[in-house]
Amino acid sequence: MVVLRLSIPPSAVQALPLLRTVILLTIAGAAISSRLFSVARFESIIHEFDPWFNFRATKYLVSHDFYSFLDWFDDRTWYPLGRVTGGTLYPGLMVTSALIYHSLKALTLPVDIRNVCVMLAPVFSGLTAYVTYLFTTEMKNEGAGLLAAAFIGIAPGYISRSVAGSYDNEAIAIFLLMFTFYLWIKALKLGSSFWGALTALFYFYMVAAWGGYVFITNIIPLHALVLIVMGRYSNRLYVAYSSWYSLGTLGSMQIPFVGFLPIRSSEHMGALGVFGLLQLVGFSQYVRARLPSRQFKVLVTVATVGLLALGAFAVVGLTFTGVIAPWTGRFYSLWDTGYAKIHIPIIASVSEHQPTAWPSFFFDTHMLIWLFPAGVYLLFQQLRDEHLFVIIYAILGSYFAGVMVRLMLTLTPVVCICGAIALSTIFDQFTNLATPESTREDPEDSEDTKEERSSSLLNINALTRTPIVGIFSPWSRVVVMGSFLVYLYMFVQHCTWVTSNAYSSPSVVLASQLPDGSTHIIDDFREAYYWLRKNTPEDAKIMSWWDYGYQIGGMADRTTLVDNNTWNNTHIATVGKAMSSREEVSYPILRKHDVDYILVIFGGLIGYSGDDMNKFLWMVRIAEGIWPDEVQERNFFTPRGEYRVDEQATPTMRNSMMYKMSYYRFPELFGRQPAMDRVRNQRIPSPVTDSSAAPIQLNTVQEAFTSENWIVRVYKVKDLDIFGRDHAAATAFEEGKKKGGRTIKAPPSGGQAKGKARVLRV
Amino acid sequence: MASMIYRTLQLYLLLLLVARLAVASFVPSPAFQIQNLLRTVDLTKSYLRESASFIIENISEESQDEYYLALPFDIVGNSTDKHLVIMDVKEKRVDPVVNLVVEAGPANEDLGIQFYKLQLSKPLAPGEVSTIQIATASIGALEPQPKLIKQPEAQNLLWTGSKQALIPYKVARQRTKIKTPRLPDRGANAYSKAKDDPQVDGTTLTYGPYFDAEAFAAEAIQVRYEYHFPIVEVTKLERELWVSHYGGNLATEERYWITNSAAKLSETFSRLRWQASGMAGERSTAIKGFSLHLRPGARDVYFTDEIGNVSTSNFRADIRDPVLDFRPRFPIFGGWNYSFTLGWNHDLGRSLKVVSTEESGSNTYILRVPFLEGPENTVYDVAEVSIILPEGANVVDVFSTYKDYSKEELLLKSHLDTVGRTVIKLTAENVVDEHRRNDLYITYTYSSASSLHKPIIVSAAIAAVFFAWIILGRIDVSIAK
Repeated sequence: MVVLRLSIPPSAVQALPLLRTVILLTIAGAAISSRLFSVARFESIIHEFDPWFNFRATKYLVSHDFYSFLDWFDDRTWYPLGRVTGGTLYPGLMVTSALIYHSLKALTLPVDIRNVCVMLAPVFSGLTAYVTYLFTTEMKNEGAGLLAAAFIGIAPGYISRSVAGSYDNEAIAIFLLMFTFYLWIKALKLGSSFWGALTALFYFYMVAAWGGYVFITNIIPLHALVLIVMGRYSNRLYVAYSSWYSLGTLGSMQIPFVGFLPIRSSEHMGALGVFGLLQLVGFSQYVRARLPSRQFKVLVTVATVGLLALGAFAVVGLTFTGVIAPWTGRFYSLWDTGYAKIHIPIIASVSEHQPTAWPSFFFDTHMLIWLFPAGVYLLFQQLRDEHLFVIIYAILGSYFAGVMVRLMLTLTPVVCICGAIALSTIFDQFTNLATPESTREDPEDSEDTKEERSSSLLNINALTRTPIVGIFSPWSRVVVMGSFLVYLYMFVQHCTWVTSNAYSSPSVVLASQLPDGSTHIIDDFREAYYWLRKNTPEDAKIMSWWDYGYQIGGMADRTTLVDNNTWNNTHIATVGKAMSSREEVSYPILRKHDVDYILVIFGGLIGYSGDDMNKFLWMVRIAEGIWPDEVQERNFFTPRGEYRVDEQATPTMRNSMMYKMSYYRFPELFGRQPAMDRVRNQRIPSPVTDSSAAPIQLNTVQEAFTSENWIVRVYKVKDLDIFGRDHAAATAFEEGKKKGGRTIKAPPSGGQAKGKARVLRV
Repeated sequence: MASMIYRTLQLYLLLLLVARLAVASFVPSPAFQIQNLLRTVDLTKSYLRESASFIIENISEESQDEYYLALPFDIVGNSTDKHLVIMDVKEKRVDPVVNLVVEAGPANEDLGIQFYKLQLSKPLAPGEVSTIQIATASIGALEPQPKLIKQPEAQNLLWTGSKQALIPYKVARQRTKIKTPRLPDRGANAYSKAKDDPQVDGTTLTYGPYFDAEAFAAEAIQVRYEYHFPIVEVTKLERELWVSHYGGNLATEERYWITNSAAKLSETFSRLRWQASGMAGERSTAIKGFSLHLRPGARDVYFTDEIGNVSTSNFRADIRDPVLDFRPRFPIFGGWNYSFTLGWNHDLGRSLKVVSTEESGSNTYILRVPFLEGPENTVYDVAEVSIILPEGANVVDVFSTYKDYSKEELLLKSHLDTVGRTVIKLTAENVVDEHRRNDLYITYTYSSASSLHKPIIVSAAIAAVFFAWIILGRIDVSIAK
């Protein structure tokens, strides 16, 4: 880039800002359009699970005012407990979309709130590309900035959480994260309290938007601490940090969900400690200017030891007395990957909380993952104050990404930045037409001096006597540049492929290929949700596993017992128990919770593997955590330790509500063919083909709706029997069998008999 | 003072009572005799259609120009589940056939009858005859019998009526013909029988002829017949037609809330049975889908509902006869509800004509659109039709061959409007699919100046923003120099 400027006339240099603007706009366009696969393929729809809650909350905010949103007590979830929704969410995302919606409405543009929500993430990813450009420009130069912007624009690691319809906190959080970092670097460089205040402002916005703000809360103090320890304390640091911390902390406490955490929880203590340390260092600097050095040394030693001891003592003491909240479970699971599995099954049951597999690093960042260390290395070469920040970010980000799959997201920006710095350095070196003086003598040795930076003086003599081999020969330039262009091309290919194939499925709607190659859309979820929405009473309570809570709330608009918020483990365990117990045990639980309908997901017919029978063991485990005597995981395994649903399934399995509701009348669909469960590849015992197999009997619930491909099955919970019989007896009686002690002489004709017998019983 | 009010009130009440008594016992003078009446009860659709054709003769001494129709009070009034709609009334005396104006007349509460006054095309001299044809449709008059059926079971509907037409005059000769889609297999007790009444011809029953019936003669009969189709009832329709002169486009969006009034399921829904009966090709009372013929030139069709796109639709974009086949997300059984949205575009040129052009650049246009375009065999409880004209258009006249609606004029701001666009909202209650034949004619003026209004406003706003930007960018607000 430097060379370009040297070789072009000044009028063209003036055009560079325009060119940069055009490139950035193009990058933003690419970032937005590569996220639209799902809209083009399916429709403008909210994806997956959590976005459905955010969408519902946004609709609430749009139709109510802001304060009633913050005071929102939602009695349509977690029945009968309810949820203090306004105080337990990060409102940033909803407020952002509501602001956009209202401003569009003020312009009288007829925009559906759903489309605002769907398009929010792609639009913000365009902004992320821009702030990454700004950030990287601070690190190196505009060239690296543009590369970084292009990388973050299409890197799958970030796209995975920001495709159109992925309406989640991360959609705006990564933009805010990068922008806060940029502002922090700016504040640190200039020592300006104005930029520090801006940092605090966007830190506040970040706190409002995503729980991941703790990452900023810790990385900025860590950066400041490292700077102090390295002896790089400066007034700029003091001003920047103090203005950020004081304003940012006050700001963050305005969010109801955060409240007093910044001064009470352990995660925030680091920032407070560094704030205190900075005051001490600043004070000591002041004192040093006025005291002789001997006295000063003694003073510093005593003060440091004393204060450190006092500080540590205070933190430990306050933690024990409970003033400072100890680390939360989710936080522990960041340090010990096995922690969650033992102590909090509900966290471990979420697939995105699993440790990352190695291939996914390559999958999510492609070639950047090997340029990343090179970039970090190059930063070490210069090691300016701001470079330290990126190095710290790189280290922390790598660690956290290794612990939890979803934290790949926070790693991706730094990977893009470091990759861009590395690649831009390579480009700088190899597009530079100048040959440095020092390497002219011996071209063979130039491999070793690869990292050496030389002045880029234009030497005409060197150009005329061009060597054939060596890094400064035109050929090596062509080879290196050519190969990197190929890498870049492959990177774009890979990103597009991953985005298209892995990250663009709404998961509410499934697509399948018909034999003739055309796409068939499987829309069972919405079919069943819409049935519930239209054909059940408005206050019906629906029990399902917590995964579907948000979707039921969003699409079916009905009250749920548990949802993806998972704030109450016991309540979830109750649902798990109702699902994994026998009907006689479940029914009182259902009655106590006023359950009207039960919704189960069953993929056995078309081979949808994310169904409830595959999640069943988590229900059992979570229920066992609360009722170890009543629900036992080992009873669901065969003596040989297998998870079976066919004729070898254990009696506990076969009598569980979940099993019965999944397979109720399923074998009949196959007639005389074997009833094959296509997910587990096991044969379900069929009373048609096998006379010893009894058909599945449901006494306390009855099938109310089953979707076209049987993916969603809805059961209605029966009322108490009007004659006070238990349901098994009532069902048996309905079918004409006599059960129990009292017998009735049934008249010979069938139809009349029922009516008469009923009268007799009364 | 108080006594005066009291007295006034007393007087008022008395007057009211007198007026009421006079009305309550109203019976038209027996000026006419009906010579030959043929009534047809058509049960082949999801709602009841009745038509009657008869010759009236003036048997009085004077010439007559008013004829009275009698209709049962409970179904033309505000009863919630049953409604009778008069489709049209014609008189066939002169060529061509004239549509007569129907006017609500007095009610006779003792007889339970609401009278309607017909203004004959010209006075009928004593002894003269004329032919009158009337057609009515009744919503909610057909009941499933039994009310609950099993999932693949056949549905029977029950029609309750009278052997004779309800006529406030003497009838010399009359017959009632009842067309059913199919009589039950054991049809013997499916309909009311008398000595040699009715004659059965395939699926048609004919009662009569009866001679010299008195006014208001009625003899109750019932007919039970098989009806293997859903009974689609649109509880509410919101239909919007957006006129855009910029795009030369007429956009239609219709939002439906429907329910199936067929017999409900006696048990809960079983997908297994549904799939089995689907394979066997059995007819069902569940709504599986609709086939909608759109006007020629329809394009950009969409079918969505409250939670997004419904993928099960198929549009045959034939130029002459575009057909939209769409299937709801789930089969809609008796008593089940559903709601959806349909939309499509047309070239505006097909429906819009310039009537006159003026020097000032203000043109008068006339827009012609169908009153309804929904699926066949459907009844609508409430239909709201809104025509959204371009910003700056002034409505001159709204005309429709269908009269029974209430009209509102509203202002709507959309698509960067500053003044707002005129919306004509017509609300009609109890409409049937046959009203699709009716067209709406809207005459309005629209000037080329108002078509330039928006581009000027928008460019001015954008220019202002940039200007403000430039000025603010030049202000130096830094404290330190």
